[in-house]
Amino acid sequence: MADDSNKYSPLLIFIAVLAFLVSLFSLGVVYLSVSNLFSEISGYVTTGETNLTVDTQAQINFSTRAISWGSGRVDQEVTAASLTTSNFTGIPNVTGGNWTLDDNPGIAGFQSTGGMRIENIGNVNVTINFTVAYNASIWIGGTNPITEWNLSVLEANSCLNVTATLNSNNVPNMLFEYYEANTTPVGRLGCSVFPFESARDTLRLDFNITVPENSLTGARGNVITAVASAI
Amino acid sequence: MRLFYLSVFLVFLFLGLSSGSLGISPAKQILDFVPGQVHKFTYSVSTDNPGAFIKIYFDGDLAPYAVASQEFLVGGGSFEVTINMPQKIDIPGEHSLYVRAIEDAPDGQFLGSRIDIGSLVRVLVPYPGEYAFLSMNLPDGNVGEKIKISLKIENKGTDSLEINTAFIELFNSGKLVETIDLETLVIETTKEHIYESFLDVKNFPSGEYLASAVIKSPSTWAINDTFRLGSQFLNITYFTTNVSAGDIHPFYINVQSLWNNDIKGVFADVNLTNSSGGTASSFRTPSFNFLAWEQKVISGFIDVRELNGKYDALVELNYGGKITTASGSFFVEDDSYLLMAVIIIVSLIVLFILYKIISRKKK
Repeated sequence: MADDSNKYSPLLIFIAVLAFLVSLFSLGVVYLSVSNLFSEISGYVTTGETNLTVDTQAQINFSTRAISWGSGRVDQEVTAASLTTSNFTGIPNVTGGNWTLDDNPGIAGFQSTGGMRIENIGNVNVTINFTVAYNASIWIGGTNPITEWNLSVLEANSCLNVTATLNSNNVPNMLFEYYEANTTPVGRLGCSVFPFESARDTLRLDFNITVPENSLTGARGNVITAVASAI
Repeated sequence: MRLFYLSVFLVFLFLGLSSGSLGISPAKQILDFVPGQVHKFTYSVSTDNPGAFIKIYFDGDLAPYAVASQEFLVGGGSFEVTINMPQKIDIPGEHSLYVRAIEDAPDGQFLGSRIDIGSLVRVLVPYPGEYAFLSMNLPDGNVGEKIKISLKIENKGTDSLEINTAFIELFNSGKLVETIDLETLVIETTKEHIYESFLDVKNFPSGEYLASAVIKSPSTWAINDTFRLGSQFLNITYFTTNVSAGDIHPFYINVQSLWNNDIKGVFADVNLTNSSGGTASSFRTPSFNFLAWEQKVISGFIDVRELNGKYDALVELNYGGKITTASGSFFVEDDSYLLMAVIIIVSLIVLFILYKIISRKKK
């Protein structure tokens, strides 16, 4: 059997000794650091001061901000088609036509309970009203086209003082029924106090649209503007 | 691979369409109108769409006096608003300026949406001449304490308020009990002053007080407010006075705290005595806590299974080493006679109706 005692080279022994000394040194440093740290940290507080400023922010979010029924046309046997976002009420989204409601174009084929969702994600109450860019006659055209809308609360108490009127035109705060949307001030709707607290900060805007058989054709577009102001 | 990139692009494109927010900070500010004064504020607009094209504009009756450092922002950002107040605003009271940010209208959507968000700058324009707005803070207290009274005077007029007389009078049951004289001073337009005084109510009786503050400048301005001085006393306003015989019944005691602090561990001992002075029935209620000035009904159960007739009730309310007592008559009524009487009357009515029906048939 060979003698292994001569296998350890002086270099290896030197590195081992060096590593040992370095670890001893680091242990000392840690000891000094900890003792110094403990001398500065204690549970006893003499004085303390904090300074915090919370900025006010008015911010509105459309969690569903676009609605589409895709391509389609009025059925042959009827004079007009009805498109609505209120499928939660049991009314079909489309009658008299072959469109399909897609109220979240971000997800192909997505069909939730319909309507635009508006949330007050700031930290102040706001007043909000909605305007439409085009009347039904310009947007859809044909004989007796209709654009109606309805504002409701998705979370209880998301519109305070619901019996009040929104402005000098006596537009009610909340309608709870479909109402003609047009570009005049009377054709607007909204809520005079839209709170920001997370349990009561979401409104829903539904639409009911009548497309006559002789409507304008091609891609049609309209824009709803949510005008919110801090109060 | 090209199809993959196209798909990713479309997903991001539609994500932008499905939701969106727009915000402005600060949301509101309040300014006092000073002719010709210049205000500078920094606003920040936030959006979750980095490519959003946002227009800055002003609304409200003071809009012509505001200028923004930037008219447009892309994807949000900060800008400065300078308000150059006019030399004069004819109508006093509140005026407003809205600093607004509006998104560009979306393209290619059947029903798209955009947000127009506004930050409010409320400007308070002084009323012509002298106009003082008074508010008073009078907390409830207890007899033996010192109560901090504060009277705030805001000068909402165009003229300085030269207050030559100022005092607060305290009334109890219509009788003047104290007059606190306040220093005379001058309050410049849009400024305010708060008078603070500690009222020593050691010798005041407990109860409700009316405080009337008056200042003269030389116009007279006044404001009234009320406060209560409490004593450590729980008042018994009502207790149950009659029950039906032969059962265990709830016994209710209405209690009103006249103390401006909480009182804990309140309980009542109820004792019914008969005409010879012997104890007929007694019980102790559970323990209750009262908030300052709280009115509450406390209750326990009284056993009257062996009782009938009139008794004397004594209610002793125990709290903080004190006792409030109330006494009165207590009736245990045997209502079985009443029930029997009702049954007999109803039976007689039914028999009478039957008799009439039968006699008609015979005819």
